[in-house]
Formats: sequence, structure tokens, C-alpha cells
Amino acid sequence: MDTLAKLDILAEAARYDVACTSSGATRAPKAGKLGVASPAGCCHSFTPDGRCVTLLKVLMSNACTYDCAYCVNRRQASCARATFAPRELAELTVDFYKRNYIEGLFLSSGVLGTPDATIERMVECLRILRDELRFNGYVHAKVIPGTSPELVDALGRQADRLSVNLELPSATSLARLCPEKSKPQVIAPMQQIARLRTEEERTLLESTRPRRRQLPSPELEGRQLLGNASRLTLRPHSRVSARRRTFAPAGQSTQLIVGATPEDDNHILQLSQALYQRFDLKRVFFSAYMPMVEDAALPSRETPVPLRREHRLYQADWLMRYYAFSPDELATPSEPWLDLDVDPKLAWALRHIDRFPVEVMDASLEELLRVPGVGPVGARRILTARRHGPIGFDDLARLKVTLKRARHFLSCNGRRADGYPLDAELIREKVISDARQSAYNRTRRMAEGQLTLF
Amino acid sequence: MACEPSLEGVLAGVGITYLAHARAGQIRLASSRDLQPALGEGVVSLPAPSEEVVAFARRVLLGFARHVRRDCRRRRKGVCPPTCTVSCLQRLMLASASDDPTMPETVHQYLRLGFAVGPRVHDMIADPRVAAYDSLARHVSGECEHTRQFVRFSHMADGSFAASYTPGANTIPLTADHFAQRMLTERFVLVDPRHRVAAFHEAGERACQLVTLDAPLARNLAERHDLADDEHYVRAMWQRFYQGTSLPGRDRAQRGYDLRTKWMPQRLWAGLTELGPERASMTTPARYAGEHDLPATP
Repeated sequence: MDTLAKLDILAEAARYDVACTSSGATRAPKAGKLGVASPAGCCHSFTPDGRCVTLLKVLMSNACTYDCAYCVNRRQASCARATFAPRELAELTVDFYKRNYIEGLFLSSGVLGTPDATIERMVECLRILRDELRFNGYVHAKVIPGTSPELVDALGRQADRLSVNLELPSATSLARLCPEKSKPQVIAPMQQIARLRTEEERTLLESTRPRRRQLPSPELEGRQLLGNASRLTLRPHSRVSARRRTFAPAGQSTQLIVGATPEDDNHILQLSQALYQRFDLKRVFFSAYMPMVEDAALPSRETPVPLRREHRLYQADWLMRYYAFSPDELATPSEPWLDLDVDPKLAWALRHIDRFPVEVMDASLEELLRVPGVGPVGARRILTARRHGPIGFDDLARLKVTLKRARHFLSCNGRRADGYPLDAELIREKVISDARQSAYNRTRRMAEGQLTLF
Repeated sequence: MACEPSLEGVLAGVGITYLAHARAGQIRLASSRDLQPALGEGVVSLPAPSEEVVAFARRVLLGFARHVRRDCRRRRKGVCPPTCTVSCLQRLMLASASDDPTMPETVHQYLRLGFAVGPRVHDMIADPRVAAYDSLARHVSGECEHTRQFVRFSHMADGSFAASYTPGANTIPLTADHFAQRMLTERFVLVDPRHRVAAFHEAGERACQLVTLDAPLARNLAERHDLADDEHYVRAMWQRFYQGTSLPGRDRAQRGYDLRTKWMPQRLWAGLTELGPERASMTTPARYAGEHDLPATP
């Protein structure tokens, strides 16, 4: 089988992995080596469904010995099978990279016999890529639960980012749908990666004279032309830059399938928060379940893809990382589902309308971040602009604040926007009606046929 | 005042209006390529770019930097940090690379404001003059990102790589070094036939050589057909990969809007290998002919 035919099979088999970022690593050009890694990453194409293509995302092999119920590559599936040779895949990566098609490689695989045998082959591919083909670009590698610690370590020395897929949001669901995987098997490599990164950070901090790392104030950040996403998160930042690390410098991430099992949004957000805090994850990716496989334990094949739920979960995840929201503020234990028609921040603001309007001239960064329509960049721009003098709604428009939503919740120099009432119920009606009329909500309502909470 | 729509042209124009003691509101800078005087306006043309004009533009640039960097809290011992993302000069280079016909006047107004108020100009981000200037710079920054994303190189018969790309602003000078770092081991040329600029890179060099081209040479470089033997096969693999990555149930009809077009403007699609026509026949390079084949099943 030639590589073109293999690519046909193995690219399609890998498309259910949603993570496709090339960010978080910093690697300068080196003499005799091909490629660099930049902190912001770069998207080189977009698929018809709008997803970014930044890495060559393929499986090493789709010949899997596991039998996970939801997976198109499961042992019992009757699909074409193929396996890349390590050198073949390494050469393909370099050929694509030189043409500016990709930033690097996203390497995952079905389980070829055992997790260790599979990861050994992946490590060999990365060794050829890094040592023989002198590739200096980005690599994301997937760790298979059950892999031995030595191989996780070897993989992390070659790759920029590692990820272990949690797959399902609870141990019960995992046991039901993935009989060969268990919670301890999934958690062990995540713990190991977090521990090795922490140890390396400690060693690096001990070996060098501690430098006072001065982060610019939000007022200075607001002067920037574009926001630096990683700097704008409100989570604690590592004291060691990715450039100095040798083990998984871009950290680790994970993926959860939503919609295949009954866990609610509050459960998923609590889980994400715990993962961020416990294992210092860079991202938790959510993948709306696509009913491709007929199985009694899964929703029927006619079930619509829960695209809006996935979208709202991503928004909620963003609010936790960039706006310091807690999971319970977004989906409470008593109302555990996110509203599908209204974004989670707007839904929170409508539930706490007594906290508004926020005065632009004296609100803190945290207060501004809670205003719908004001993002991390917009909030910092407001802080910068108000140092110069009073700002009004026209000024906010020039600062690229989304006034369509924000003007309901802001006052400038004690004045609210003309024609926008103070009455909480009127605001609520107008905002919800605007949100419901969006093309996105109308289309998804037709596809999903779901009711909203409001 | 008609000036060349480039950084040097605008800086020289601003310098001359300043030396002539003309107030910012009394004079309008316009591109010499599409100048349309309004009723009552007189036209003064700047001389074509020459060494004297460039030297004069440099003086204006240094003067501007001195004015707006004064008391900047990011500077240490009088030196700007190399990673300064606020960089006043970087923003100026971005704004001046815009193709927008209002660019010379927008930059002129901003520079005059900077000379008048000094470092306070950094905080005046809601001022209409600063907002217009930032908007230009932000647009060009977006075009630079598109350049980094959507340039597609081809492997040529002589072993080098070549790409032709038509951006919506003069982005090749701003992004050439990105490609030099990325493709450090390769020899390549990147051509922009619209702005008639090419970046040439020799293997091992950390930077590109930028060359302004005449129309026929720009056309010749942009339309090279001497491809390497493996090029069509690698393109076919990329097309096949691209087709395989899309998921069903998430496209435009399911979303209510076209997310792909939002991120990947249609004006650039013609140059994208993944959206180009598929080739019926091609030679399979030996390294991809299945020599390394392993059993498909464990």
C-alpha cells in the first residue's frame, strides 16, 4: 500500500481527536535543523466544518486491539486498516512542513497489540524525525493509557505536548464503554507528566539565580495591538519558560466526549476545573459525540450531534480560564445544564442583573471581565484608555468592545446608553430575544429540537 | 501632499510638513498612486524615493521614537526590551504596509499627535486618530498572519522551494524572516506579484534578501512550472489528508454560518493546494511507494 492510500485511511481515522493546537512551545531556529515552534502556533488551513488544521494529525495505525464502544477503529469494526512505518511518517511530516502545510505532527495511534508496543513505535518515529531528519518543529503525541512510565518519559523528551484522553467524564461510563481501559490507567500517565514537569521546573529554578519576573500591569497590556492569549489567563503562570524545558515543554491536555453518556454540564465543568488544578493541564478539549457506531450502550445513530452543547462547554471553559469564573457559577448543581440559546456569561449576567450596570470609569479588571461583550483584551483597553480621560460609548466602540451586548450592562460617567432601559426585565427580554434570533441558534434549534431553560 | 505609500514616503512627508510649520489639520497626505485633490486643495509632490529621502525619513523616525518612548515604563536603562509587544516602531511598520488609500493621512495624523503629546499617545487608544491608526496596523497584522498561514511552497526541479502569494497588504517584507527561520535549511523564494516584492533565502541564512521587482520579472517568478518529480504526489497527499479531516454534522448547513470562510478568506483559496484540482496521474516517489510496509494488523 502506498502512502497516499494509507493517508486516506489514517487521516480519516484520526479526525475524531479534536485537539489540534501548535501553541505553548517556544523553540528558536537552530543551525542545520528544520523548523521552529512559536508560542502562539499557526493554523495553516481550515476544514469545511471550520476546524483548524495546524498539525499533520494522523494515527500511526488504526489496527486496534481495544474495543471501545464509540470508536470507529474498534477491534470489531469492519473498516480498512493501515499502519505507517515510523520513517514513512517522519518523511511525510517533513515534506508537508517544507511546503508550509503544517506546523508539525500530531501523533496518535490505535493500540497495536499493547500500549507499550505502540508507544515504542511512536517514539521511533519521533527519533527519526528529530535526530535523523533534524526536525525542530512542533510535535503533539498521544499517550495510551497503560503505557509504562519509561516510555511516557521517552515520548515526553521528543514531543512538545503530551495528551492522555480521558474520553468519558466518569469512571462508570469509562468502564461501560471502554472495557480495556480503567480510570487508574488513564490518570497514571497524567500524574506522571504533571510530576515530571513540576520536578523539572524545580530543578531549573534551583540551578539558576531566581529572576524577578515582572508581569506588565493590565493598563500596559491594554496598549498592545493584539492580546497575548496565554498572558491574559487568570490562572497562575509557570515560573519557568517553555524554552528551557526538555520534557513536554508545551504541557499536557486531554479530551472528553460529550453527549455519549449521561453526565451533566456541571459535572463536566467540575471535572475540567479539577484537571486544571491537579495536573496543570493546558487545555481540556470537548468533542461532541458523533453517532457513527451502532451499539446498545450508545445514543442511536439518528441522534443529532450536540454541537451547541460542545460550543457552550468551550465558552464555559474559557470563562473559567480567562475570567476566573467557577464551575458552579456557570452551571449550578440545581440547574446543571448550560443554556443552549444564551452564552454562559450572558446567562450568568442575567441571573445576577442586580450587579449591573458596571461603571466603566472606576470598575476593576475583574468587574469589567464579568460584563457580557467585554473580553480580556477589551477590559484591559478600557483600563488603559481611562487613564487619559473620561470615556463614553463611542470610545468603547473604538476600543472594539461588543456594544450590542455590553451597553445593557455598562454606564459611562454615570450615564447609561441612550434608548437602553434600566429595567431588568426589559433587558432580559431583549437580550434573550437577540440571542435566540441568531442564525446559529435558529439552525441548531432546528437540528437539535431542544428547549431552552429561559 | 502626494507621497509614496510606504513607510519612507510617509515619514518623509510628515518631516517636510513639520519643517514647513504646517499644522496637522492644514495638510493632507495622500498616496501618489491614487491622489484625488478636493476642491480648494493644492498639490505638492514629494520627490521619488532616493537615498536622501530615506535618510531624511530615518531622521523623522528616530525623532518620533525619541518623543514617544520618553518615560516608557517598559524601557530599561534607556533601551527598549527586544520582546516589547507594544513596540511603537513595529506598529508604525505594520500601519505603513497597508494598501488602504487613507494610510498616508492616518499615519500622518498619528505621527503628528505623537510629536505633540509624546508618550501619552500610548494611552490615547480611544482617540479617533489613534483608533484609525491601530485599525490599520491590526488589519496588516492580520494579513501578516494570513501570509504565515496560507503561503504554499512548491518543490522545484533544482531542489529549491518557491511560492507565489498575493496578500492584501505589503506583508512579504514583514514576514520574510519568519519563513527564513522556519526553513533555515532550505533555499527558497517567496514572490508577491501585486506589490512586486520577492524574498530570497539561501540555506543556512537567518534572514532573507528582499528585492523589488519589475512587472515582467515578478510575473516570471510567480509563474514558474519547473516542479520537482515528487511535487504532484506530495500535493495529492495533502489534498487527501485535507479531505479526510472534516467531520460530518458540523458544516455550514448545520451551523447557520460558514466558519471556514470566516477564518480563510475566499480571495486566498485560489492559491491553496488543498482546494486546487486533483491530478489524475503522477509518479509515486520511492520513499512513499510502500517499501517500509509493515503488517496492518498487530
